[in-house]
Amino acid sequence: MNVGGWASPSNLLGFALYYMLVPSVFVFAAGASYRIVRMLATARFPPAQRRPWSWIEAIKGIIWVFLRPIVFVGKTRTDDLIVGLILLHVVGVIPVLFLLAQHMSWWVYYFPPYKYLWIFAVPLSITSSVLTVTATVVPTTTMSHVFVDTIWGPLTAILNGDLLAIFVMVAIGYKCALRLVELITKHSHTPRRLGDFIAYALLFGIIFSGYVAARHRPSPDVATYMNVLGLHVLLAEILLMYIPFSKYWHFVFGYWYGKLHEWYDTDLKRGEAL
Amino acid sequence: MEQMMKMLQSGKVDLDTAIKNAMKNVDAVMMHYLENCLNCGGCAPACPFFAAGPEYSPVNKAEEVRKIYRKEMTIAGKILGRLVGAEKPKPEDMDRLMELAYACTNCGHCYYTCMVGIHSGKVVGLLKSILTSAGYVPTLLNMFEAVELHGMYKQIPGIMKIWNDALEEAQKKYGPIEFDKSFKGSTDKKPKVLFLAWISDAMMMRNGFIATIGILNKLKEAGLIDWTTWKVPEAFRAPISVVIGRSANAKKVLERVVKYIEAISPDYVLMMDGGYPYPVFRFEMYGVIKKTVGGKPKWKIVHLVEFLDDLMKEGKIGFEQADDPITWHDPCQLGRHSRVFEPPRDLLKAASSSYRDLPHNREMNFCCGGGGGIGCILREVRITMGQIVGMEIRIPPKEEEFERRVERNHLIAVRRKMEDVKKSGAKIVATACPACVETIARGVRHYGKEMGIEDVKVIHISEYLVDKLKVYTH
Repeated sequence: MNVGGWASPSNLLGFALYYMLVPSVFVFAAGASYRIVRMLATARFPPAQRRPWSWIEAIKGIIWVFLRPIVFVGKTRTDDLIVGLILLHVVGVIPVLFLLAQHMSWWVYYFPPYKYLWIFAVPLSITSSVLTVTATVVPTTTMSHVFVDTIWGPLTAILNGDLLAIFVMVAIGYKCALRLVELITKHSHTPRRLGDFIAYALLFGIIFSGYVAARHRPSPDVATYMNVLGLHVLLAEILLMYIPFSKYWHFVFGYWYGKLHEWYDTDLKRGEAL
Repeated sequence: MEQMMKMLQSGKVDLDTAIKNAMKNVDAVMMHYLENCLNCGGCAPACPFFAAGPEYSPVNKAEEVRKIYRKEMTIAGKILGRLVGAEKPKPEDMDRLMELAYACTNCGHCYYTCMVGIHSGKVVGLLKSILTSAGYVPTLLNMFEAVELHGMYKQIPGIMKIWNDALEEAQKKYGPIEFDKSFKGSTDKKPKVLFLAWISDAMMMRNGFIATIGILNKLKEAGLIDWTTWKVPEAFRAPISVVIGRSANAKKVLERVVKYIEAISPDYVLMMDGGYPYPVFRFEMYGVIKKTVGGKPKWKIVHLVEFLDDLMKEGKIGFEQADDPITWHDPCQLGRHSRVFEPPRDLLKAASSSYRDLPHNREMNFCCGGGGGIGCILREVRITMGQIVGMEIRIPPKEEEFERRVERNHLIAVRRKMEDVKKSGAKIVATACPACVETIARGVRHYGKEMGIEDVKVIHISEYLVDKLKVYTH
């Protein structure tokens, strides 16, 4: 399969890295610009009889704007807090994407100042942090108690690529199962959106291919590894292109805009009568 | 009646035009509400109507507008249609949409609990504006709007009698009122207050209305303020049009009221109503006020509780303290929408040593389920209004069915509020919104015996404060 060498489009890794990266970044940038410009073009600033506000209150306000829904969902839908927020986000996609050592090296390559976060790197597994395509996951010594040494200390038992990926896959499985049950029983408190399933499938594909690539499966030869890793990168590029047109936009813009707007609307514009 | 029905139908347009007109009002914030929903369903438990069925969750209600928006305003929606959830409603969908639209009080609880800050109440407001433009609007709300817009209440003796009787009783009890007194050119340094009272205050919170006049007269007698109000109101409960999403009419009514305020030229425009008029005047449609006045108005819009709390903090007033087990129900419009949380609590704590909060309070307060016009489209209100205006208000059989469903959902929605009242142990629920007073009182009547809270009284906060008010003249 690896005809033409490393950078050949005939292997998936070469195709993903050398042929698809620029177009996917372009589509993402164009889509993101389109969405932001549309919002800017329709922005209005209606006046209001405001209350005076202080910085202390404003800071308290912004903290609560972010915390309030989390506390609420924790009280009213604990399963969603555990699966949706904790497994999928906090100990799932966010550390995998930004702190997994393999991904950090990618970030550093394109954005060198990212190297200052190296100290927080999360290893691939609790027994191996080797950054090479030929590394195996099993300990390379005969001793079975060799563990990686990271700043996370005992937390490494959770903060490692293997487990984080499993958390994400479990969370996606749960979310999909929940949606399917709701579809079948026709007792749904959320609308049916095809986009949700596409988004989950894409994320599952990325995480699963990354997990399989890291374990050198299904076979340990280099060609297979490059294709599985290539699939992982390619799916990530598809996701990148899909972001501006899907619910994943929240991660780049929607969430941050929404919370900042809410803060402006409730705490700065209306203030609080004290 | 026939003439009124013709008037009610006069602005009706076809559904496509209604949709196009509504979409013209989609600005950046609404775009965020329509495009950035994660479909997590986190908002569902916040909604008082969710208990009536999962279809009433905020995200499900807002999705009906999102479908229209995708079809009308997005490229993917135009090309792929239903595959991407883009769809315009068909005539057979309209009854269902009406039911969804009138199962939202725009309480804002879903806004505060949404992970991405989406205000589903505002999205449902857009749905209401589409439905109303296309002629789908509850008869009673349509009538209320026409009565206010055209000042027809002035010609209805039954309505004016309620207003005049309440004023008369207030004057008998608390002394005379100087009506329509203009403060223009006044050199008196005392704060000059215009009590912006609505007919709905006299109609739905009569005792609170009289007590508010009592409070204002006490402050005036002590030389703390000067105040006036209108002999004949310029609105019923301005602007009713916002409840059904007719913003152009809301603007007209607002302009009329603002012109009156300008003629009086007060320092403060004070409201006792903590429902939608307060945030509409102060925040939502302040731009209309500025435009009408031709700049920033010299007067401030305040709620009675803010005004009294400021006086108390300045040491000018106090309260004789009782020990009644009393609580405060935050009206959603005064609380979540206008952020007036502490002033009523300060006042009630000063007036009762046994004040207690409801288990769910402030931003997380449980909405009673009576706002958004819902409390006004019930059968008992229709019958009562018929008696007041002196004619039977009839609605088509299909709308009667709708009315019954609204009534059913309304009673389910108020239940959790009643559970909160029970848990608090309060015997008096004070609040400031006519819809809340009516709805919680209805909840007490319906669930009181079952929950052992049948002796709970629901009042406007003024009723509790008026006799305990002490004015310091030093």
